Amino acid sequence: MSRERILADIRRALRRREALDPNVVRSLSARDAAVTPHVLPAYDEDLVARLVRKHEALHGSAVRVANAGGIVNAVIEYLRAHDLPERFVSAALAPLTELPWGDGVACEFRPARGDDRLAVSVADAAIAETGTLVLVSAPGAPMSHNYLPEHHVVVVESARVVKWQEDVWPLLRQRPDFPPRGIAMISGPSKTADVEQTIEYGAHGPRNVHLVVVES
Amino acid sequence: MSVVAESTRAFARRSRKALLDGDLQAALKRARGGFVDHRRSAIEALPEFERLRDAANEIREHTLSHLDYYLELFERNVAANGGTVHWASTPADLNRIVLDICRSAGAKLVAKGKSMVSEEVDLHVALKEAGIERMETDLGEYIIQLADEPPSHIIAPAVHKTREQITELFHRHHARYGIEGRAEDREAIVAEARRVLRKAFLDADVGITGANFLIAETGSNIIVTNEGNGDLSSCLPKVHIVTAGIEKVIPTLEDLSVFLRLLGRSATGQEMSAYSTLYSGPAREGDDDGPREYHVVLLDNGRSTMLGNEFREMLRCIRCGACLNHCPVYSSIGGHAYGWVYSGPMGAVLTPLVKGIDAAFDLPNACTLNGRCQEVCPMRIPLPSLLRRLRQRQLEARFTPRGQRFMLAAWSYAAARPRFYRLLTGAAGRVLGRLGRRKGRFSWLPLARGWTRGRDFPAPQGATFMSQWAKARRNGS
Repeated sequence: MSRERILADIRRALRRREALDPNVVRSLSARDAAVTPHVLPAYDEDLVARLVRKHEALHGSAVRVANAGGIVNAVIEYLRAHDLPERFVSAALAPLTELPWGDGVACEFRPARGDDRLAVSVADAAIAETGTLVLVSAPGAPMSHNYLPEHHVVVVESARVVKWQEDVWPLLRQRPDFPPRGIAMISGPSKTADVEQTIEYGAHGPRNVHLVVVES
Repeated sequence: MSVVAESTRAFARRSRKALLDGDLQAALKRARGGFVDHRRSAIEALPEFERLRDAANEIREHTLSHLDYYLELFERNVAANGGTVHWASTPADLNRIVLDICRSAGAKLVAKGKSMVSEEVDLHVALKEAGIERMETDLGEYIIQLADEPPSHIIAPAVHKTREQITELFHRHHARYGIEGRAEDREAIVAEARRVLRKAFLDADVGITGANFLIAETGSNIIVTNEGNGDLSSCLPKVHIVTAGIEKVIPTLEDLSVFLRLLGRSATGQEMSAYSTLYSGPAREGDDDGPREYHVVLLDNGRSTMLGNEFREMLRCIRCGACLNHCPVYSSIGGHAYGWVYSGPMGAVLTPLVKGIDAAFDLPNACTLNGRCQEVCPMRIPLPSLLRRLRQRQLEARFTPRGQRFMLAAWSYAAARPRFYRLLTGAAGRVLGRLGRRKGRFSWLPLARGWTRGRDFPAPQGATFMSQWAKARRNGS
């Protein structure tokens, strides 16, 4: 069996005959359970302002709205500005499930298909340090929404904007489903530099990520 | 398999060919500056970079020192998420495990994300022999799949291809999808690839990806991409297989954050790549999508041996490609000249260690020991020292050609005897100095044809440094 052979080879390389003794195992568990951040890059900037600035620098677009009701307008304006049909897929999560979309707008709660033009998602957190949106998979929040449609609108509550990536991990550890199946950290739209080392957007995933920050 | 991957012996011949390849030289020239400049500005903007390097090294060293513990912890947590860990000692083991999973899923089409481990074991050959169609989904990997070539850079596999070559490849291969015209500009090329590969994501039975890291705490793999192809390969097909080297495991999510800050900056000068995604097991109850099966295949292939010898530092490598981008040799000849999937300084170390020092004799010697690779390596791997150690191994195993061995022995005899050495170099300096007085250089010298074929040899000024120093001391200056 490869498994036993590899583990035996590793132990031989480490000049140990057996698995670790219980005292060492206890110290390793203690190290890992302490989960202290190592090095946090210093910065002093309003978190939401930085999130928006960083996200835009990554070729994303953003808008700030006063409350959840503002999401409807933000999405419809985006659809019109990009000449998109008023039909899209959405995460079945609050506050998206309770929005008054109005007549003629088809908001569908299902996984994305290959020809969907736009998905609307809710971020579990956003990292101001790097302009990164954190989307966790769960019932009602399929991963395909992040990668298949051409456009991605991501709603984030301003209270969920954190300073560093390391602030996300304790939040996730509180979830009953930890570790969630998928943790997507999205920093701007899909891109490639495989042709002439020059960036083109919309490689396989969205051409644009539109951030809607809801004040809370 | 293509010509380039067959042999690691013909380095000199391939290098000469690469130097004369105008398309390749144009592509390399364009790539060089971009990678180097972007990396430098990203690092200048982060004063904590050196501390992050220290922290990452400490984490890697800690994990490697307890590698059995962290691999078993990872395995337990993958199982707790409903996934399975498989162990592969050799490339043949890995290919067999992957094929078994594919067969029991009845797979006809595999969507593949970028994975250097899969390149390392020639998984594409195994899949082909088993009659399973494979679509590489990273645009660069897809281009070289169409060209039937191995990658020439670990993060930019098609860096050697010009736009015109890509247009031709697409034109030749995409007729079968009913695509008639030529995609001439970048936007059209990317759009055409999106259209063709989208169908692969949706139709594939199995998705195979690599892992930038494995996280023991959560039993997750993380993939870092800019295109999103790895994510589509991970979450659309009904089976997801991850292939990874055993050195990829790290303890916790906090540890991961340190590496993510180093990886993008060192590779492409990005603070974060567009997509960094952690996957932990198959779809859960109530999930709307996601694979039914989740497998991780861990590959040893010489790594556990390196753990116990003087090449252990190489296991710290995070495959960012910075050493390639800063290497004057790589920048001149590109990746294919190295003869295997890993190229540049990291490839010159890894290839002989995995493939055998006799199979890749030239690689450790094709280095000027300028040290830039070590300076830019986020993990501070002492690549020049490792290359020197390989040269020593070659010498000890008598793989070094006899003439070179004789010269090295003669030099080491003289160098260990300072007075004899001074006498010898003094005499050589005087003779050459006198002979070359008129021109100040030699266009031809006995025993040094290898040097003078490409450039002139400067004539010595006459007196050696030691004798000038002694003279200056005597004159009291």
